[in-house]
Amino acid sequence: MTGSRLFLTFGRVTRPEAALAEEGFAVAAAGRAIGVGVALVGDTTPALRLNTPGAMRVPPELAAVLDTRAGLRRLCEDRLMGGLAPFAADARRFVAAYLVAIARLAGPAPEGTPLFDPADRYFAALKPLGTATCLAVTGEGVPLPLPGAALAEADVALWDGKTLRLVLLGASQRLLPRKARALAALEAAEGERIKVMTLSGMSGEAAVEAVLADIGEAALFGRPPYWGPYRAEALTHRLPA
Amino acid sequence: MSEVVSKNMTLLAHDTLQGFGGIGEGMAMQVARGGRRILWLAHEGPPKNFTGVDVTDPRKPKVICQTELPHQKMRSNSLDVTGDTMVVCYQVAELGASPAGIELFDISDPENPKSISFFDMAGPHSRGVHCCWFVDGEYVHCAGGAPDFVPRHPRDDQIYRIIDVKNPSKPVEAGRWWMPGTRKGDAAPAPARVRPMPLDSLRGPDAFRLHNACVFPERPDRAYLGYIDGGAFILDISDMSDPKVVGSWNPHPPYPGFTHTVLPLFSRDLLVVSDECVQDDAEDWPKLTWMVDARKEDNLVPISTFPLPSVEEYGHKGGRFGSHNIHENRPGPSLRSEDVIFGCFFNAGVRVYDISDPYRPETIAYYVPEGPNGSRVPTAQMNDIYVDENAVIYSVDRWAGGLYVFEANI
Repeated sequence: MTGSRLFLTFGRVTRPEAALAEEGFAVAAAGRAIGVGVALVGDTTPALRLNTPGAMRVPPELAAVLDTRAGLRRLCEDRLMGGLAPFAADARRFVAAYLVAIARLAGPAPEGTPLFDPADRYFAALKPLGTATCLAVTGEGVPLPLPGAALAEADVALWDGKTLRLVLLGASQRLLPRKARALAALEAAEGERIKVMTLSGMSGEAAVEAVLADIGEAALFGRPPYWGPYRAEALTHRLPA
Repeated sequence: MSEVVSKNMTLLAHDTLQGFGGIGEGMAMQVARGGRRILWLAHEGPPKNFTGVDVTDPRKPKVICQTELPHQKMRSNSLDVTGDTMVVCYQVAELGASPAGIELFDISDPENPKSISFFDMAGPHSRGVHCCWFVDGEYVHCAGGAPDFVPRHPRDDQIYRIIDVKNPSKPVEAGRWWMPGTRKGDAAPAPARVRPMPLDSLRGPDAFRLHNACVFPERPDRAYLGYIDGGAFILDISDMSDPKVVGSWNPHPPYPGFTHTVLPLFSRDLLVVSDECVQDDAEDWPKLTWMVDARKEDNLVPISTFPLPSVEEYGHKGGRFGSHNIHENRPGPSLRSEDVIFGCFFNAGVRVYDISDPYRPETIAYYVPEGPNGSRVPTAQMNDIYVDENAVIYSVDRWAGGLYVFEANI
């Protein structure tokens, strides 16, 4: 345990400071771990999963017309892919391959079964955060203005409840000095809570397999019950990680 | 003489290359035996051909080799290196003259380059080779004339030629492509001239010919071409004998022409496309560097341009002002960043951009050197740039200033 908190921005966020000032405060005030483009992770924060409250926003009128589990999965895929930055090609390839992999591991969503099946672990998979930045903060509050040089960056980030994996793909292998320093500082400060995975020259599928092998299936989906796409907020912190 | 202006950049070293500081568009790094690092530079014009500079300590560059051109009516301008093999381009001042083509050198002993072979591209309508790209040890991608290529307009002589040098002693052509309509006999009509120029000189603007061609190991089936007034092209070269256009984009006109470099950012589905300023005193302003959305190769969309100082500030300081070469993320001992772009902009110096948000490129560093002694203009004319894997920035002056070595706080 380090006692610090990790502030993450991801997806379409191009101004981490603005994202934290707006959505970050709203998420923290609501006692959540994740919102649109921001996540707040502490020592006791459970894994960030596809069904973590706040991770996927579905208007009630849309939820009302989704009547198959396959449809729910497609919605999840659409939200995840649509939330990526438009020019994050490496992250896009990774997340697309990740969705295929978790569908394979979770098994099919057969037609005719209950819409919300506690045994369906697809939505319990860890949520990949594309084009992520990460800042470790000690003490109360968010230090604004942000110390720009201290923002570590990754193509994809995943929090499994104990470890934040920062995945570097493609051209981001050749880190600029400032970015390399930020990553090194984060690793030094956070120790085993941060794991940087540098995957170079790999296809999206190969990179996903490497990351899933490192995470392990148990951590990838957690333990049952899996709760489907909408995990009740009130129950969040009493569920197994 | 103009003065130094800088932000977040420091000059580590400056070398006028033994008084021959006019450098063209060939900059390539060799990691030689024993780990020595030699920066090879092609001169902009006669009398010198190429110069090798030992930059093992980038703060103490040292000329170790400097060669002469065969005669004064030609220039090299461009070269490239893979391993211990160097390719040098030869372009002549008059059509039909020689030597015009590419020469391959063994530079395993950097102080004593040895000629391996010469691939002749001379011809009655050819000026030889202007620019080359050689990063895989197998193919040279170049802008060259050919003895059997007859352009409709005399300035459209240098087409895209792919030369197989797997046997460096016996280079052979593997393929070629030209913009349809530019060759005599093409079914396509000749393209409309963007800014017609008198034909008393074949140099300069008003041309539909290749400038830079880039091919990367991530996509060996793709060539990215800057085709001067023809704009940017993406070619499928999976069959090098028959390149095919998969995408193109051309802002000229209304822009004043001269697309120079097309740099793909594969992790981001973006292209950086630079123009070249080719006239002094802002006569061809604005010459821009563009960010292009390449998520669909067949529908390239410009989304922003890189900010530059105003034309009222720099346009009339002397010499050229505007875009030219950018660091091309070359394979080898080179920085390969897709978030930061390094470019040289003649009298606006060397400029570094953060493109994390490609809709809003942001200048994060720059260095405008003072005008060098002996130059034909009062300003430095930063002409080409190379950034090594340690983020050391090398740039050169077009007329007299030679080699500048920088580091940036990035």
